[in-house]
Amino acid sequence: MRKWGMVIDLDRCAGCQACVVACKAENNVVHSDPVQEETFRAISWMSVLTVMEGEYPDVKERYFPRPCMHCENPPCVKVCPVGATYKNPEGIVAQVYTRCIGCRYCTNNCPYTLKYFNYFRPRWTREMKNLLNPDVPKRQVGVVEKCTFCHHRLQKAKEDARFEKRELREKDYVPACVQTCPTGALIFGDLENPKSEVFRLSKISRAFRLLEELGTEPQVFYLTEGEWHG
Amino acid sequence: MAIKRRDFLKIGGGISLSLPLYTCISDKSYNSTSRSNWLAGVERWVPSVCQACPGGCGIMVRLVDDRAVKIEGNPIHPLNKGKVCPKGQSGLQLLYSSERIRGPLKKVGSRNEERWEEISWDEALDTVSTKLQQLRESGQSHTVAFAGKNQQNTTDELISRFLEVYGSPHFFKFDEWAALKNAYFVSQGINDIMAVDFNNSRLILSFGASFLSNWPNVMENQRIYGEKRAGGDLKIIQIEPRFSIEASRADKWIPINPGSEGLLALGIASVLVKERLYNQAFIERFTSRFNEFRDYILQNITLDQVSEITGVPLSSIIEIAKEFNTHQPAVAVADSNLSYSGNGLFDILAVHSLNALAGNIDSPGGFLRRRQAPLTDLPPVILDSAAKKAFSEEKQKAVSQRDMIDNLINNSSQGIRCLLLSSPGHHFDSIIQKKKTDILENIPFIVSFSPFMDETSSLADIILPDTTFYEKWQDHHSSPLSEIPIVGISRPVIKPLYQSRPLESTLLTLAKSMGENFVQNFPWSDYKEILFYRIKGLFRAKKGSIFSSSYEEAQLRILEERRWWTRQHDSEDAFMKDILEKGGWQDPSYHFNERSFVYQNKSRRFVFTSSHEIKDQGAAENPENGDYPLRLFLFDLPFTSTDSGSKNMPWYQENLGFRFGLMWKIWVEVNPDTAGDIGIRDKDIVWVESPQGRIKAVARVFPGIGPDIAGIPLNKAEHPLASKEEAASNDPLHLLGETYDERTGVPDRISTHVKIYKARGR
Repeated sequence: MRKWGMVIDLDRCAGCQACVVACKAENNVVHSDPVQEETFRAISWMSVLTVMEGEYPDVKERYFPRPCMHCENPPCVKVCPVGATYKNPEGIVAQVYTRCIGCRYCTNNCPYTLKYFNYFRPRWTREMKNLLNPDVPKRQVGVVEKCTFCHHRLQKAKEDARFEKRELREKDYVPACVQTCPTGALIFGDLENPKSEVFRLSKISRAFRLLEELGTEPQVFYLTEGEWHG
Repeated sequence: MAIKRRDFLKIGGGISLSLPLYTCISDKSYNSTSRSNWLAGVERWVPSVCQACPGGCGIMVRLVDDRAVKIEGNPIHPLNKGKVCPKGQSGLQLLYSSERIRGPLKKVGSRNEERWEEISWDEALDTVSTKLQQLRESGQSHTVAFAGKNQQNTTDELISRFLEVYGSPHFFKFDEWAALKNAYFVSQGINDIMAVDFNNSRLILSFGASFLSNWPNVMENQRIYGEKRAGGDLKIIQIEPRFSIEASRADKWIPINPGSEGLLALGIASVLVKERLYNQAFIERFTSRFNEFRDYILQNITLDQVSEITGVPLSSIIEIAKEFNTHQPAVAVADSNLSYSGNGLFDILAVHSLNALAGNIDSPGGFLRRRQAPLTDLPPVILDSAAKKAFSEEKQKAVSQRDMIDNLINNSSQGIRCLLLSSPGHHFDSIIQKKKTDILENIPFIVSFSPFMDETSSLADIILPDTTFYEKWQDHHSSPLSEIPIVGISRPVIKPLYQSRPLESTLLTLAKSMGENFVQNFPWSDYKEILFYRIKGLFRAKKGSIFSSSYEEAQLRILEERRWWTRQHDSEDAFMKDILEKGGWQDPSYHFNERSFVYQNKSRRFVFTSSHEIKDQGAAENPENGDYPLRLFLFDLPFTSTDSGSKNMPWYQENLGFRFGLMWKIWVEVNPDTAGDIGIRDKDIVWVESPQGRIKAVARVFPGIGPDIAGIPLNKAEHPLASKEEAASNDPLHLLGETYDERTGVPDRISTHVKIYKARGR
């Protein structure tokens, strides 16, 4: 069985936000508004976080793109009373919107704060409804949503492979953020396949995971910046 | 057989590429429900070109039935190679913006108000053509002007042709990069921008250049950055008053007093000259007036003085000079950011002189000049007597951007009586912000082609709404910042929405209604025909190739460098079919040492400038009044400067403040010490006030800006669907005074002084 995962090379990230917007466009995540900003209720499955260090004029800034960690041992799954969120056999932490009862236990239990509750009905203008992706549901008020590694793309890739009577290849499936990343900072693939790039990179000395001590075992690995950035 | 996402991922992943994958990229559709029974609708991918900024990246638009739902990169487009920036990703919000103008509008009531009445295309076109004909018949054709962006595409050709046949010399093309062109003209005699070969350079010494966030070829630069950071050999030194995205990605950030960049460049030059760390062979062979330059520098530039004015420590200046010398090939880059200072040309010239000292012009890892793509020229214009008469009376063409702006806002004797406006972009918008009443007073009839309700359309008496670039045919030429000539073919992804019509067909319709001579000069039935006529020149030129895999590209480049060319298509028709499927044409080879192409002045050399004007520029204007203690520094957010459309892309806009944790607010960056002095805390809501006006902003205490400087971003929207009035009322441009760059006429962004104080309430 495959185990999908991501490696994020922080040396390469230029903080451009292409991943963030590609994610929203692919997954029908509505843009925010000032009210959501005020109340911290805006939804963005992928975001580029920043860390500012030092004092003028010796400052440094780090950017790190942060999708769902798709933990091997996901704290959100443990608390879901209705099985709306679960770890699927290919390593993706999935969310079934129609099962979700909106209790938000999972949003509170995620140490990465990567689960988002729909406090508002998504407000698409009539014109903008045209750009909705039919492969992904629009969400309703009261359900929790999260990064799915563009799981619908995996479904499509599998069906295409079946149609062509062949095995699914690793490169057949890539999430929207990875596909668009201009600097090649995001790398995606099968963490179980010793020949894949993500397998190799996740084992190098620069690799680390967020809040590793919690034992969540994220399937998203980061590579630290090189000497140029201290 | 059909192209699917998976196929071009495969290409992007570099596993394989064979032509059959691409053969059905075009209009042929397949019913995806036959493969995936859970998918709704018929899916297609259409290759086109993104024109959300002047870059022109190759895109593939995913259509489901007749809706455009997603944009991905075209994997074989040489500029972006399958990648798309955040603005490109938001592009469909532009297409489906609620600010789109649905059909022709006529202003009713006072010209200062914005009250509109819907009219038919027939009535609108009739009004405009009657007006144009009246002016022409009364011998006033030279009082008609067209203002647009500098695009260098076939639309530009069409507009020029229209004006020429009509008898007007006034085609005002606003150009963000005008100051750079001026600099290359002064030093090398070329009226063009030079490309930078980042791929082969080892050090980027950037004087405030936003090469990772705002250049039209950003996708190329970001790719190179990614590759080189991951194990390559590249050093970046960013010299800039503010800790920008480039500064955060640089090995070193050198803060500098705004406006003194040119002086620092001369300081670095003086170290190189004194220590003889320059390329003697290049200077002898390819430059002139070096001795004057050397003497000028040795006599006038002292490092202590440079250090004092620029605020850069002496040791840093020497260190930068040494690194510049040891990391050859190194490039010293400046961009339009330096042209917002009142005297930007001299800053840019001083920076470029470093490249001449190092001998990095027309050499690998240095500055290169892109060739023009060999499109067929349109047949020569046949002028009738009225046009001939007009040109004999009104010979002079508006040359500098400054002249254009003067011409528009000052009621000169040759004042413009009729202005046609097609999204001239951000510079023009900023002029409108300040000069709206003047423009309205001086120009009695204004027509806008803007697809959106924006600054330019607010001026208009008649609006003939253009479509967005997703709805029309277009050719797109790569920016001269990449050395490879690329022609991308942009095709209508969907039919024009509402009652909008492409500007090109509107112009053709107008032309056809304006008499025999116009009909004779515009024999084409539609714009697509003109475009194809020109594109066929690429087939006949016997060079370059349609986009192909990187393996083929490499092989073709080798052939072409040896002056060979292989014929890949049997006929023009086969060529046209192929170019539409792949998305465009490029010529990947670069020929060095064509001296007369790189130096077009008389001496065929780089000319050093040693002007006394350089000396004084660093001195910041003293605030006339102690009431305004902070120096305002306005900066562009990534990709926002190039057009006014970015405010119609909420996905894009909400992320622009990511470094400051803000989505829909304008912020002001203040140094921690300064904030303490003026009693402002982080995230306070404040007023920023200059003698000209005030705006509301969120204060962010930011160690990435010098003391006594207040940094404010331009073009930040404060609401996803903000009305134009709301947006205009809190625009930081209101703070600026009446000083403009001498050459380009754009407002000076760094010499205004402001004060900041807490706002009551929220």
